[in-house]
Amino acid sequence: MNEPIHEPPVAGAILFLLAGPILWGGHLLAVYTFHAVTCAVGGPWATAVVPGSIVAATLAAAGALLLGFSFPGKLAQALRCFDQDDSQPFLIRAGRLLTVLSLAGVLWTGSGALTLAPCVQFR
Amino acid sequence: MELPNPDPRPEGEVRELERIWATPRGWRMVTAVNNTVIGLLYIGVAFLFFLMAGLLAVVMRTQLAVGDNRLIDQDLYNQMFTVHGTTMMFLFAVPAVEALGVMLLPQMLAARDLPFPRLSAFAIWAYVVGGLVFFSTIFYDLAPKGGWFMYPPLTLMEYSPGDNADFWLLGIGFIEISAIAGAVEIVVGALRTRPPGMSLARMPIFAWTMLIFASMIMFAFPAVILATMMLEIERAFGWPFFTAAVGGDPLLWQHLFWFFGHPEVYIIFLPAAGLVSMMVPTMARTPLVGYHLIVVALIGTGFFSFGLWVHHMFTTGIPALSLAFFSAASMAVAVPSGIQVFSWIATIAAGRQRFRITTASLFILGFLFIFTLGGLTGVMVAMVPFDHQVHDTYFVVAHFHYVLIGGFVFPLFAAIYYWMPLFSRRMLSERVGRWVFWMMFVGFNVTFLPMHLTGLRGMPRRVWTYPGEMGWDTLNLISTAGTYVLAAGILVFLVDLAAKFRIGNRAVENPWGAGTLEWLPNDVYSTRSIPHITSREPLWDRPSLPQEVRDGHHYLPNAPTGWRETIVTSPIHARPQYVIQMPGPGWPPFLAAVFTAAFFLLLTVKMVAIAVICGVLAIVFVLAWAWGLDPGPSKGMIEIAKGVRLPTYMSGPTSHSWWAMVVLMFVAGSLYLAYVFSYLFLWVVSPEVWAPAGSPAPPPIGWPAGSAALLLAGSGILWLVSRKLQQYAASRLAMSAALLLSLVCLTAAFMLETCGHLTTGLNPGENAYGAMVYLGAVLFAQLVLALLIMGLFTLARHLAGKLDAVRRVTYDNYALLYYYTVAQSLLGLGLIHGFPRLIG
Repeated sequence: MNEPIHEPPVAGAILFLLAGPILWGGHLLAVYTFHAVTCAVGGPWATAVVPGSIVAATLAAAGALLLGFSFPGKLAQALRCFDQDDSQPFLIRAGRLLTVLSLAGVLWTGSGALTLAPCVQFR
Repeated sequence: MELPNPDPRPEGEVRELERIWATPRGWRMVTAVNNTVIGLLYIGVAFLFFLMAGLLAVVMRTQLAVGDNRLIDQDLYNQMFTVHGTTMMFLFAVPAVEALGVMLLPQMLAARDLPFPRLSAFAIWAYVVGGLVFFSTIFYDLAPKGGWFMYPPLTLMEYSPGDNADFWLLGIGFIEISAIAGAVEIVVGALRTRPPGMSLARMPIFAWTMLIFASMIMFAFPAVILATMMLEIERAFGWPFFTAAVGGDPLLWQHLFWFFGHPEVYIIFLPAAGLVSMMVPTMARTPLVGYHLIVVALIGTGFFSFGLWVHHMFTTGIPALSLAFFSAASMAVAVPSGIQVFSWIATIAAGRQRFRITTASLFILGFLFIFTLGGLTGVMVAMVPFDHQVHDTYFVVAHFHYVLIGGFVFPLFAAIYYWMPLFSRRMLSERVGRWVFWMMFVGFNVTFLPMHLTGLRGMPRRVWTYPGEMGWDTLNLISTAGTYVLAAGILVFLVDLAAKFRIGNRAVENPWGAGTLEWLPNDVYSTRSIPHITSREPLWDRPSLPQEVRDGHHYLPNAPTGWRETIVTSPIHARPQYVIQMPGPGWPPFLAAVFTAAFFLLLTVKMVAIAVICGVLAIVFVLAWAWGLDPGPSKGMIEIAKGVRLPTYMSGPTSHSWWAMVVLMFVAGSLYLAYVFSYLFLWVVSPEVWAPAGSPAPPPIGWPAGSAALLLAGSGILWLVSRKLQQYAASRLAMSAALLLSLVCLTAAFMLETCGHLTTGLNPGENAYGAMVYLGAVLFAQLVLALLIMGLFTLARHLAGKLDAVRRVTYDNYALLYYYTVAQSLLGLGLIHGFPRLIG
């Protein structure tokens, strides 16, 4: 009665599909929180550490996204999210495209650290 | 393809289906749960709110037509723009989308209904009653005046005395609960009630958008629910979350509100885009170009929209670099939106025949034009320096009306014209429809295009009048004239609707020659049999499908359990897993909704005793409704197709009720994360009021350690019972003792946590730290109360012989929420007791 047709856990497929956007969200949250807290509670040293840390976080996130884009099969294997079905190419293609979108978002977000002074308000 | 049920079907099956799915008549109509009936009520009431809020807009535009006008006074104007915005966002747009989901999703998935029809009915009635009472406050001078975003400190008791703001906070709070109930239904419906063969890769785009819409509600709405709780608690009890003098911060409200408020725009737009993606291929008579890209764009837009909230706060003094992060995200979201626009244009261009120009097509083309302009001004305001110039001016009013009316109202009208034949015996007039479109299109642009200039000339938002010599008169007069043209267009539509709309079976099966499943032959039971799907446009690829479905040659052509039922399939590949038995019409959802609405509204006007009685009655009716669920496995296996037999009962992670509980846990988790964010945010803003330096130190470690031990003991008991439910269920004493002991552990853990803080002398009204600590206890108490009710309900079912090792859904749900509560509470103990020690 309680033995349904087997299918890989949906959580794995969702995680695979959303890996790129989750990384983008994590990056945005990390750099924003770090920047806000550092500037709010930090001293003069804050301005020294903020740009480098944000650039480093951006490069790390971009690297992870590039890995996810280049080796989607490995990620899918790690998450055990597919079996043989026509959804597999669909999910892989969609996941890779989302990774590209996320990469653009991450680079766009991080690029601000190269041009703007940290901890300065516009007015 | 071999037909699932190739043999001729026995006589009488259709009559049996009609009997089982019959809609109650007369005054019992309010007990109906069929998606086509309550969906119509839902969209009808949402449209009524659109009209009423639109009328407020006409009055406001009349007031602004000329400078120094005194048609209405300032106080009424403030109430009007607040109720207009609130109604359009909370009572029209989101409910209209959910209504479309309730109405169309089961038809597009060829399901008999969504998996929790009574939950839909509850959500809809709560919304109808609560929404009408909320809107009526404008007639009694009781309407809120703080704008649809209700910023403190303006909305604190000192600056907004009376009940007006409370109507917003409590009224909207429970309408959000109604939206979340709908979201649970849609997530589980889209993932689990698709027809066999409809894998994710073949799912209609509208189903994708509804899935993303509902997921966004799960994560966005809890933030504003927490915010409304905090503001109401501050207004009622003086806990200073937003009072800067004692460590609070009004900006916290803005963070929480816009973490909901910006995704809200996409919560409204994405389903509308889904509607367009369904209509464009039909009118272009070719499959959608770039299906994969559109799915990617929808997911990307949904996700990115959560990273934009700060772009509503560019002028609040946040450091420039942080603004750059959100400016980048705001511009990045234009990329996936652009992908969709180009996909629609490519589909129109790709059609071998000319794009058919119908009223629905005109509204789609109007949408493309208006929404694209709104998107472009959106990119403009995403740039921080430009936003500084136009912030709080009519430029922003023009921008968001281009986005919201262009992005939602025009597609909605297109959808009404397109899908009307599904629900009405007569179609709307195409000739009148063109008049409607052109009047609305011209009226809209005449109203809102000049507002860009009015804003650039410096006219601020939310002013009830302006000096005549400012040079804004002509532009405002043009805008007002446009509003009348727009309103006239909608009036013509209403006349046509009154003349043509007649509820009943459609006169023409598939008037537009569409390829998707909602155009299969339908009746009260949805389709006679549930088709096997092999492509995205099954009606185009298999022209014989409607006849096969009508003749019962696909799955579940009858009602083998003698009850309402549909097939539950696997979430990715849509493989049949079991048959769900669904409840039919009944009074409990209706009465529970009425008393829920009464509870919140009576609380607003401080009639606490009667409110509590209504709250108890609401719980009683929810329990009465839940008592009839979980039918157990008595019907055994049934045949849904030749040689295909499925169980009629399921528990554990495959069951739809497990999924619904997991969705609810995500909602609760989002709410708690918003709380954690608020706690840390206020610490960053005002570390001087935080313990141990600025407030009493947290209680000795024994208090939280004891609380944690009790929580772990309670979950350990439930884990043991879960593993050996067969043994426990066989003994009334053992099962009762286990359930009661788990509740005792939980309640004691809560008491220990709360008493620990009381012993230190910490006062919630003294500063923001105390308020945040006790708010954590309030959130804990909510879950404890829910678990007490669920635990006693589970116990009652066990004593009544309705719970055993197989029939265990009630127990599983209780245990799931219990484990979640333990996890959340342990995190809370770590935060409340660990963080002050860490910084101390």
